[in-house]
Amino acid sequence: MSELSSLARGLVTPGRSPSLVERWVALWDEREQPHLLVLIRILLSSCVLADLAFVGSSGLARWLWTPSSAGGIAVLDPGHLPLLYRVLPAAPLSALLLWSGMTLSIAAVGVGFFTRSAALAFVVLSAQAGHINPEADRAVDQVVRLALVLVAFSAAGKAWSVDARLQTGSFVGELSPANTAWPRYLLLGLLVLIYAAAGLSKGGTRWFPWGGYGALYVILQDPSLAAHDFGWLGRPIPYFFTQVATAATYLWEVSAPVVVLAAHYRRTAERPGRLRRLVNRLPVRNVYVAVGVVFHLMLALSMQLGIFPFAMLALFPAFFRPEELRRALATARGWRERAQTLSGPSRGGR
Amino acid sequence: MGAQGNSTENAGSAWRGKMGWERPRAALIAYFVVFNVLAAVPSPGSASAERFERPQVKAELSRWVATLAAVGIDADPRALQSSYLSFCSAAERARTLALAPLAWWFELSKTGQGWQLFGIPRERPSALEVLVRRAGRDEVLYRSADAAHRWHADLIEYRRIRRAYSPLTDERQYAALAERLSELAFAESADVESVSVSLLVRHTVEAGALPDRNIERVHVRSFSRAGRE
Repeated sequence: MSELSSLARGLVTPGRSPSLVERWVALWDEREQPHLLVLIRILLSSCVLADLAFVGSSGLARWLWTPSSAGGIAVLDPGHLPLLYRVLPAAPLSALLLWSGMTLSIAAVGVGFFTRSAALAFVVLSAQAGHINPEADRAVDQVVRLALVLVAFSAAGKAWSVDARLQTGSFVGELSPANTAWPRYLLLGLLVLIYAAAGLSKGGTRWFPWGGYGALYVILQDPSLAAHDFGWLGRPIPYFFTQVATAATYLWEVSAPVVVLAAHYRRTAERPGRLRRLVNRLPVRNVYVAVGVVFHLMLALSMQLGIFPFAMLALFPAFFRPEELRRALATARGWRERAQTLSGPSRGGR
Repeated sequence: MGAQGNSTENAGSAWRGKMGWERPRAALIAYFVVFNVLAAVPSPGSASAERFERPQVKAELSRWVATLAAVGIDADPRALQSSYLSFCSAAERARTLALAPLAWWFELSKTGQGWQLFGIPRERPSALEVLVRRAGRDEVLYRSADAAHRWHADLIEYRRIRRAYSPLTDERQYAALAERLSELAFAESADVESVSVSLLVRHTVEAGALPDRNIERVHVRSFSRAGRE
């Protein structure tokens, strides 16, 4: 279907095999409904909003983004001041303004009000927060900024949003299949890149057989990271499970590119090749996603990483195609209707 | 073109789409994809001889030497350290050069694509402790992973705050955090005479071994009410 639509849009020359450049251009011009991007927009902004709400309610904005000389903990280099503090005084009120800007813009993204501008505004403000206090700018903050850049260029604000209400008269809005799919493709690529890079960056011997696969055990003994006392993991059987989990974590991360390979094989299923046939028969992507969900939920339960596991999971819809979400929703509706049908007569009989 | 009968579009004009935007967009995406992938390539970071003095890095080096020896490669720890430092320095220079075309974007969005999540687990983790003195007696207000001492734990353990002390990478930021915590303690209780903030470092022993009871108190920052007034 995608190749047909590319032909129709005049991106691939008919009658001959498309060149690599033509394939590349056609790939980024593919269309789909924006359901998944809408879901990502709402889930991700909810995570960030909860995080910023905590900062606001605990009065941490002043500490985080005010220079240490003015009552905060940020260490500024006078020779390289962030843009915000070249425009505004480096004072607690400016930090509060920065927090307010981030909170308002991410709330606007969540409800889909001026979605594109709000997403870009959040990226710029969050980047300023990162420049003011680089130590407080964690990996998840980078992920959120990158994801919101893609949200800004997508149709994520066209449905289930105030923008949709203003344009169509309904909050549901336009779920047209004519929206570009490339923002979701790039989000999927971002996830693969993050996990693969995280896996390849694991240089400590503890992640490998020659380090006894002791990484997770060691990490969970860190009192400032562990959510509970995990001293008991040193016993033989629990320790064995931490070794298995260490190996599984490493393998799961470095094998992230397999998801892209599986997607490629699915799209080119008509071509020959044993590996292609094998991969197309196996639920490679679904297994990868299922392990990822378990991995992040375990992180959330065992470590104090804030919004990291939840924000990453908020991006997981990018692994799927909109029609898969529609099918899943239809199946769920079918189950509910069957359950209602089955429970109806029994209730009547009582 | 093609399907729509427009004969002016052919393979030679791959940079001009029917709508005029498809090809520049694909080129722009290629540009960002290439440099973001390059940026995500694991970098050894800025290694230094000073880092090799740290107990954990020394232990890592010893384990690598043992691993290489096990496969028949005799490596001298000093030579291995020197080779690693040279490699890191060259890799960092190459990385900076390769990413120069997109440096403006990484600066603007503060997205360096560094995804080193627990690359080397810390074998000498630290717990933060906030101690106050009241009526001449010491009292622990907060200690990491200590259910009995949870003073402002939500605040101290918040992900952005924790980075100021775990792991400690910027002494100035840790000092500022200690000062803010002392201000909080003084403001909340008029009878607090002094506040001490420190890190308690303990060695994580191998699984099954007896716990290391030696706790080292480091980076002690003390504040007295008298000194503030």
